[in-house]
Amino acid sequence: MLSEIAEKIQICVACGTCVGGCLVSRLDKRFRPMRIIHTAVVDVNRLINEPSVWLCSYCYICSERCPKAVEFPDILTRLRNYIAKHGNLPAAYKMLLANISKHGTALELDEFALMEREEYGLPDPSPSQETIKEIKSIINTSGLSVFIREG
Amino acid sequence: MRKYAFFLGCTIPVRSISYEISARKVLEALGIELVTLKEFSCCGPAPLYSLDFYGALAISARNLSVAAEKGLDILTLCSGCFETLLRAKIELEQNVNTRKKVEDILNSAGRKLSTNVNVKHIAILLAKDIGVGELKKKVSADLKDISVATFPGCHLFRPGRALRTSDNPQKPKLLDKIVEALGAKPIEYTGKYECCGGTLSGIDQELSMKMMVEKLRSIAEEGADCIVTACPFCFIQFDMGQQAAKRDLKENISIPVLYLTELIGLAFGIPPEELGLNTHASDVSPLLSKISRDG
Repeated sequence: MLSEIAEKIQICVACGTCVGGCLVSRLDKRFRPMRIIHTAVVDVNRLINEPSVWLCSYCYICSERCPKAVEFPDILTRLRNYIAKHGNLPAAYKMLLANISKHGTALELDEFALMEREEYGLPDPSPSQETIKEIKSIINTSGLSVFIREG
Repeated sequence: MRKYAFFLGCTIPVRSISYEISARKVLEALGIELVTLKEFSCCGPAPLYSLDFYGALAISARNLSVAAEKGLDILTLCSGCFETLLRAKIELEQNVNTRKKVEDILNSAGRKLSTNVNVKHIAILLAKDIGVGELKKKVSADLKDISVATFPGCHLFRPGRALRTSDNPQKPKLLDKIVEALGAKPIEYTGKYECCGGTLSGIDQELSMKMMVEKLRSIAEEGADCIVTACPFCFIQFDMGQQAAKRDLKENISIPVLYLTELIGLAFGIPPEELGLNTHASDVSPLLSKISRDG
């Protein structure tokens, strides 16, 4: 997984354009895209206990402006795969996956939601049992499975 | 008649149904047929890609395959679903190794992979495929006194290299063009082309609110009559976020927040209650009183 991004992170020239255009960086000094890239270049394991990797808002402004087309958010996604497998991940993400595994969607269409929808003449779009079965199977045969088993 | 597989995603059908209600009304008026499929699941959103890229991509790919099997293109309302599904298609078509890995995961779930399907967001369908000229023809209400702060959001336009929605992904004018065609006035304000902060709610609520409130203040300064979004996450940030900002930050700003399809519906002369406007957290009545119907 990391070999797929190794080349891409090497091309960063540390110009700081990503930080300059980053709204999160302006509001929260813990987060600096360039610093995350550089830490990954030196030793990705140093990011394992770094909470700021979860603060990117994925607005892609840095990606639009990067003169070397580093595409920071997409690289961060791959870095997060590595970091998450070492146990650093937001509880909200784990819950999201658990819901998708159970209902096929992040939010269950409960009785109340279905009643409100019916008032407006909207159909019931909940994923069928067969759909949920396929989603469960995808989760179980992919790298997502470890985040379900951990509970 | 054009026909689409209507991809609702997770948030809209449960937390923000007025987007769906108004979209169905407006598209019906424009002669677009929508098919609701119980074979669709969650799109496979960004947080899932952060946990496991290939597993998330397989969930996205499955949705593409469902629509491809039916011979229908996908129409999304949510910008997040749009970006996820379109980028999944591009990734699977451009990267042979990735495609192989995802194909194996899908096959073991009993699904055949197909990316032979187009992915459209409703704003693109309206502005480009149907065209603003056609929208203009249907306008029956007078919106000329309405100043609109459109909030384009991120994932309808960026990453621009992949999505190709706008010539300038850092300053997209798509929503403004639609608002103009409806006869209303789009305005500029500080922070218009930034992120709403929605992706960070649930990760860092304080930071997420800061990102929204900055924009809310500059929109209020410019005297906008309403905020218009085309994404449920941006909508919830501004609509419910205003209530939270009142409570937690003593920020006393009240601006009606509308979905793009709601403003179009109002312009088409559809009654507000038929568009689901009464489901909003923000009070829309100051806006409605400025619109003269059948003008």
